[in-house]
Amino acid sequence: MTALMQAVDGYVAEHRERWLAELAELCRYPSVAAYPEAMHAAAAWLVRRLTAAGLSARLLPNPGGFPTVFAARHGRSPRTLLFFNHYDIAAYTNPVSVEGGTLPVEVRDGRIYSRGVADDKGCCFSRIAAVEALLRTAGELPVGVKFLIFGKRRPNDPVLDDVLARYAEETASDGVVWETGAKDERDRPTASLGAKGYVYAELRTRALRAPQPSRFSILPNAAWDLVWALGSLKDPRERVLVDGFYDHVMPPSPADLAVLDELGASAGPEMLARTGARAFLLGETGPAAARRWFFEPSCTICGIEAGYTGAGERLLLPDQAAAKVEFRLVARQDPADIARKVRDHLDRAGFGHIEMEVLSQTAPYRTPADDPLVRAAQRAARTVYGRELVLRPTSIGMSPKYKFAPRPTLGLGVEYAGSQLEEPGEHIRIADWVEGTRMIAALLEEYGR
Amino acid sequence: MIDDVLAVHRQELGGCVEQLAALCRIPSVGGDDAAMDETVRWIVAAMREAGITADVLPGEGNHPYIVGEARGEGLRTLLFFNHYDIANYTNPVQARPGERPPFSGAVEDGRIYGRGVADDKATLLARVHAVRTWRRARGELPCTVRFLVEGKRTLATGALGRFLDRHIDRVRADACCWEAGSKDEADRPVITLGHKGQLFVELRCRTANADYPSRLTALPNAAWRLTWALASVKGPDERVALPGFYDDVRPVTEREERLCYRRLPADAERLRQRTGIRGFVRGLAGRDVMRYVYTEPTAAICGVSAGHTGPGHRLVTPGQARAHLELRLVPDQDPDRILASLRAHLDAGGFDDVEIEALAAIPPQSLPADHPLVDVVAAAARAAYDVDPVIVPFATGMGSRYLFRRHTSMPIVGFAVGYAGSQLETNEEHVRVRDYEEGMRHVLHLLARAGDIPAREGP
Repeated sequence: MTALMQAVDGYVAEHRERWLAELAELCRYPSVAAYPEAMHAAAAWLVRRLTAAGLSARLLPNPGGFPTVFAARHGRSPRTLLFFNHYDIAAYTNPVSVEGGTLPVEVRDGRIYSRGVADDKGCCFSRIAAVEALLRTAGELPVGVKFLIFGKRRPNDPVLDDVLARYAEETASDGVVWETGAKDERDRPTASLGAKGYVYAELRTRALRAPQPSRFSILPNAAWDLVWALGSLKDPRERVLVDGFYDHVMPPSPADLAVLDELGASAGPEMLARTGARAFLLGETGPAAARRWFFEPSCTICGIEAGYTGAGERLLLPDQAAAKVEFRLVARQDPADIARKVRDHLDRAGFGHIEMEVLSQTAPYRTPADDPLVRAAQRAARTVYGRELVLRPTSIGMSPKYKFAPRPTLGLGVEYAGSQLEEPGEHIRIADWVEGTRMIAALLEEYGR
Repeated sequence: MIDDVLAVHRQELGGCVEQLAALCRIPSVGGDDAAMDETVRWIVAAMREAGITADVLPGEGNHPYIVGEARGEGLRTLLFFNHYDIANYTNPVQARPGERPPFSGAVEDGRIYGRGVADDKATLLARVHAVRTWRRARGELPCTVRFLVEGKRTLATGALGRFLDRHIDRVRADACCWEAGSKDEADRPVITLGHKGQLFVELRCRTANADYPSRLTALPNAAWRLTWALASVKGPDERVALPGFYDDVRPVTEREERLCYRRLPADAERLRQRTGIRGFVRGLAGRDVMRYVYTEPTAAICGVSAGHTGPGHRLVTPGQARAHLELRLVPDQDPDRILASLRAHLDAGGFDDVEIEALAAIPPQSLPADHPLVDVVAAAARAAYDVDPVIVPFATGMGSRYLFRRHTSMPIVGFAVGYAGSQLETNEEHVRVRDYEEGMRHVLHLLARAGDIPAREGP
């Protein structure tokens, strides 16, 4: 362990109770869009706290929503890392219950219970604490740091785009340390390097002005039309047949493939039992299933509807048919490019009359596993956790990480697999929080080497 | 010469139309027991008024059957088959704002409105009224006339088959007049010699207990499975890919070619305009359009559903998918063989995870065009309509003529009151007074020719 980290550890031991009290203070703000005063108060609290830690901090105004907390401090190295966090509480599926204007915070059994503590206040505050520890012990930071702490009103709040566009210079950095990176079921620290993207489109076709009796067998049938169009998009071997679909797919690196066995463990009997599926696609299992799952783009029919499928027979030709189709993308596919290629494919395959409306899209992004930021995190994890960092080359969901491309992004957190995110029992373990704080300090030191 | 009969017909037409309008006001929906009972009482009264005995026999799973008879002086017996439930299969009865009430019974602009008037109340009553007219003019009928009137509760109950098993002797005749055959797009009377067959199946695929998040892209997708399975049944060339599907299709004879197909309407433009289509399947046009309808066995997806279909986007992978597939068959295709072929086809294509449930299996049935009965019915039509009727091998819809085949060799031909614009199964369903008048006259001319009908050969 380095002298710096020894000093940091000493500081952490000395100040952890104060920090935990401060974290509880932050957690008590019911910072959801329904409580705008709490949102503003939490943002102001963070500015004060960052200033006290030794950073220059301010609010970036956001007339359409809630301000963004921005803070910066130079370091010894010219390199700069940007911390990405948010002060709003995720409450999209489970609303937050507020009594007397504050949220309850409970500390018991070595855990801190509070809505938003795992996502994302504990993570956010661990980074402030780490920077404070480095500055108080060494008088300087190994690398420059910046904080961007958002107050989102809802998922996909455009505030991130606005801030990146309007404050391009202020928010520039060499890398981004993203929020979240839970300890896994086996209690190992993880870091996520990317996310998938997607194009979600509706395909619609109309063949008749109104449904017609099926005895008019000479009339075109919207359901057949759509079934044929869909059938032209992907074959039963799971190959997407759209010309150029795979052109820009970033092949998994040897470092990515090294974690396939690890990822393959989740593509096992447990998932089949949970979903009731007989087998994974094409009968694949373990690493092969994981490779398809994490590194290959896919095409999913999310819904299809035409005519009548209720009880009994209705002898009718459907007048119209519609399907929702999701193309889930992997790093370096471009959603706009894919949407265009699908449209071209339909046109060329004789389905030019089928309407296609893109309902939503997000770009994928993946940081190469051999990026210096990732290497620094691996070294830091060995120091702090005494074990290897489990790399998640990409999540299977979407994330706005791509908006920082081509900067490397790395997701680290203080939560664990049992944190019950966005549930009434949401909590973190204090030991995880302390480790997460030390991890950030170690990462800054390693990244400065 | 039946001028005396036709004079009574003209005289009484107004009253007949009023009676038809009254029958149309009864909401004879299979699911409405009270209305169906009322319909039975109404029809029995109308038949008795026409001098037809009318018995109500239990339907065993269906509404009751009305069996009637009026004896005549000739040797021949004619059976009229009709139904008193209104067709409610494609577009369930529903009052809609801005539309005519479904059972208005309105008589306007020479039209009689009401759900079920074209299928089948006008045809039924035209036959009852024809008997009444003849008896008022002449006292005695030229042949014995029998009636069998069904009240279906749902589309396929098997009740008619069970009824015929028990009561075939009460309905046997030398010839049977079915109820399918409205005027064509060119307003010519149509005589139908049979009906198509049908295999109607539900296809189901289940790949998971429920829909699951679409991020689990390594798991199977029921919607894809069913989409691929369906696409393997028929491609854009409209050719049904089931093994042996076309093997039993009976070739068109020279006489059928001459009597039927050469006389089919050459112009399908009205159908094209009414439905708003870009074009017919296979790019067909002209005479080929109707020829295809009558000769080609086909496959139609009547419905398909899986996963999220509401507004907006939900990231789900369907764990279950379902489709309704209709295979419409021509003689001599056998629905049971086609069902086996569908199963074999899906298995061979790797779709053994797609379940098939047959909801209906009806064999196709068609009287050969050179049967002497066809000439008699056509001659009566020529006399009534003053134009050559179009003889088509099938009614385009399904029917249960095949059920009689199990018990009797009695030949069956179909004709009806209605026209191409009747808007079946909508709140605008109607027949024209002219259709009703001519349809009744057709029956009168047929009664006049009863002696030309050959005696039934066989059971």
